[in-house]
Amino acid sequence: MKTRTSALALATIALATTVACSSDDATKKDVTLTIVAYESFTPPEGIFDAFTNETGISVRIVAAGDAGEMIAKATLTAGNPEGDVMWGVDNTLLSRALDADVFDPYVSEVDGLDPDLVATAADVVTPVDYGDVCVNYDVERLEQLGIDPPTSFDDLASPDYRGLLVTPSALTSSTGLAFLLGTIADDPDGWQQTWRDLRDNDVLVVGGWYEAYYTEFSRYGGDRPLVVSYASSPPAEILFADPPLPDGSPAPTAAVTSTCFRQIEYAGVLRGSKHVDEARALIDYLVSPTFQESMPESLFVFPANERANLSDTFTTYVQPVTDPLVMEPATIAASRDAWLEEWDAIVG
Amino acid sequence: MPSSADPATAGRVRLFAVPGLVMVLALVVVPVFALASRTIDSASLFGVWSRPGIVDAIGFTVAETILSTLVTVALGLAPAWALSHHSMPGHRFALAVTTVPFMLPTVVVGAAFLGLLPGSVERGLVAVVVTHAYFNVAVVIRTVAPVWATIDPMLVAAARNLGASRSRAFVSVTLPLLKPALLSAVAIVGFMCATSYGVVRMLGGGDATLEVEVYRRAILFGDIAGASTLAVAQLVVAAICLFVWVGKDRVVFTESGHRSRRRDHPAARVVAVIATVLTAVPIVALVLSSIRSRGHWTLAGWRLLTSDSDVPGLRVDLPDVLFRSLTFAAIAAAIAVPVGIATSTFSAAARRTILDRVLLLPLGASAVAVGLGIVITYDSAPFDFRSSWWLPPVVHAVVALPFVIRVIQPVQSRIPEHLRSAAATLGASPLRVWATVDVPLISGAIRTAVGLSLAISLGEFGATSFLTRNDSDTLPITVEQLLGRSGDLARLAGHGVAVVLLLVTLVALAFTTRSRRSWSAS
Repeated sequence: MKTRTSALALATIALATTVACSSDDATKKDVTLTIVAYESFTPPEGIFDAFTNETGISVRIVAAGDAGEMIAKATLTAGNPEGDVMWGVDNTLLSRALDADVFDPYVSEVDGLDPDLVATAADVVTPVDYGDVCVNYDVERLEQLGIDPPTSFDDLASPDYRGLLVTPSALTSSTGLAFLLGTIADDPDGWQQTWRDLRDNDVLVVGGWYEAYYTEFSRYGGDRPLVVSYASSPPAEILFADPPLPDGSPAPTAAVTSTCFRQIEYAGVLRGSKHVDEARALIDYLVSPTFQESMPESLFVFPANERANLSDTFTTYVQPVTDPLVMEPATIAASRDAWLEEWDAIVG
Repeated sequence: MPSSADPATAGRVRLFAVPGLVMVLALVVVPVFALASRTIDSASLFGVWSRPGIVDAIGFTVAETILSTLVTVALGLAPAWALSHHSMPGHRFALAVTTVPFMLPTVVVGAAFLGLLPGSVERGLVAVVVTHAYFNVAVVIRTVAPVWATIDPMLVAAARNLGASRSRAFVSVTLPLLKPALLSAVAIVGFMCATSYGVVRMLGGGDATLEVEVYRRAILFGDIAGASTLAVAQLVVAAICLFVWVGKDRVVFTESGHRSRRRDHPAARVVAVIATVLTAVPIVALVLSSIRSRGHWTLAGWRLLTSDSDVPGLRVDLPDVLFRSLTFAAIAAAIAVPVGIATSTFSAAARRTILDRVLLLPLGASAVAVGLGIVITYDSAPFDFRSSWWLPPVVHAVVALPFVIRVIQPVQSRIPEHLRSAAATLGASPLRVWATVDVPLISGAIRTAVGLSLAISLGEFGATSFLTRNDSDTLPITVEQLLGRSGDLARLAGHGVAVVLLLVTLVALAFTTRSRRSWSAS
């Protein structure tokens, strides 16, 4: 297969070279590192200038699709990676990367890294940020209905909240999967019953987050006042509101913090990188306060470095999630497929 | 050119088949099989079929494909007739508008349909079929209309004079002449629906196609072996379908292209208006979504896109994205159109359409598998193309190729052979014959083909979304990104970018689609 592949590749290159007026400047002396990231990774422009000035190392970012697509490709290219550093593999996906030996182990020892987060990283990668998937509610609509905001999974399954919740499917959406994992972390032995109750309570399961949030959620014209989204969604509803909300007005939506499932994102050196030392230096920079302080504003997540000062715009509005639901990557890896099949049988 | 072809010429003509074949082999067939050979073991080869949901997915795929295709073709015939037969004011506009849905981002159209469909059919088979029909009616119009325009109305008139009813004349005269074009349309629409991912995920209400299963297995479950097994099976079935199709369909190339001047027919005008209005409803909904928020008119989303205002978390460099999308589109068209012409030249000379059918294969392949396959096929020097900037537009060209061929071939195959023979007798080389006889006569079709390739590249969000891109967001990818975030501004700006995509596509289609005359050379 390999030789045939190469032969056809040869044929292709003839075609390709007519298109690609080769633009590589092979004469470059300095090292350029490539960060492979999910496509919504949008750090502020110029954020790497300080790193480049200090080390002479340039940085470019390539987008590898969403986090799941990125991992699928990384497992296929393990040992011969598409870049030097990967940004954004999370705790629901990390085990797949570990199984496929995607990373060259490196845990940054930069001061201030949250040790609890580091503990989840299997000594292979470095935690860079975290955020939560939580049930959100439409404050105004619940008031109109005369219903108190729910405070637990049990509430969601009780008759008072019948027909109010919409969630993306765990089978087609990473957000939906995180919510399912949250219910499992909350009640490892009884989560199936939680979901049977939710089903009997008329939970609406849709394909993706977009449909759940922008077509079914009552804040956007749907008729479900409860939606599975992020802890960062309520602040976005204030910051991005149009027409803008008057100063000091309460947030139009809020998160049910007891339902929050923590997603931790990691960065790692890709095995097969030809610039391992430089890549390690870059990971140190990614968890340095300089870089980490840009995280809340650009990605709406919390920095993994506790020494990073939090900017006002995002953090004033976000509700603190003090006791999130968590799950070890290894636990997720061991049971994910079985859970999904069980879940599908209950809800599907 | 049955008798004129000496062996040397025939050999040279065969060369015309090479570029198209190489593109499909190199960018679709080889990657899918490379992925399979790298990942599949016997466990996944047999095990994946017993996974829950697979059998249902196969059943649903077959059902929705058949239904979607039938409904799409049925709905497409009336506008194809109207737009091919009658020139009327706004003809070009109507043609562009009815083509646009094919290029729109799934998420945007899906959301519009979620809003427009009555609650009882909002999710499930009906919703999927209706939305597929909306997306793909353009294929029927674009494939059938050019051929319909060349059917001599005297044939129908003769049948009518002999006492045939209107419907009888249609069934026994028009339909057989349309058959090759209809079969083409059925093949394209069938493939598009069979491999549908976004629409089914959004509107399927829990039902999944095989393509959705491939995605789930590869991306969510990390079972790439299982996904590859399904993808290879899908590709093999697609190839078998094509083979069976080719066996049945020998296109008759002999009829001479007739064009008659027809007057504007009131019914045609009504049909064109209805088709345009129906097509426009979701489009209007999209435009409104970019300027309406919470019961207010607002330009905040557009301001975000057009100024440098740096709203945290919502940075969009629209000029940059637009420029990149247009560059990709230009490259894709620059590849797809010449290759399409070469393929049509080959088919006309060989009097066979098998190559055209083979070039349809990319539409029947799993985008996930193609994307992942490309990543592992071209992964080592000197063929490490994985994050090359030119890879997306080249893949766009592969997707555009079947459509280019559908536009060019009906016209090229009708060029009277004696013109070529005359040129050859006068000493012109085959290349010269081609350049001086064929090209001028198909120039109108070429323009249309350029427009379609540009539009397809602008909207492509299949295999290319699985490629690793070097800091290179296109319009559809930017739409997806913005619509993946919470908040009014994100929603307004995301729909705003979708409107930009819509406008650019409309301009590309309108500029390159002249009046109906461009459909026929004679």
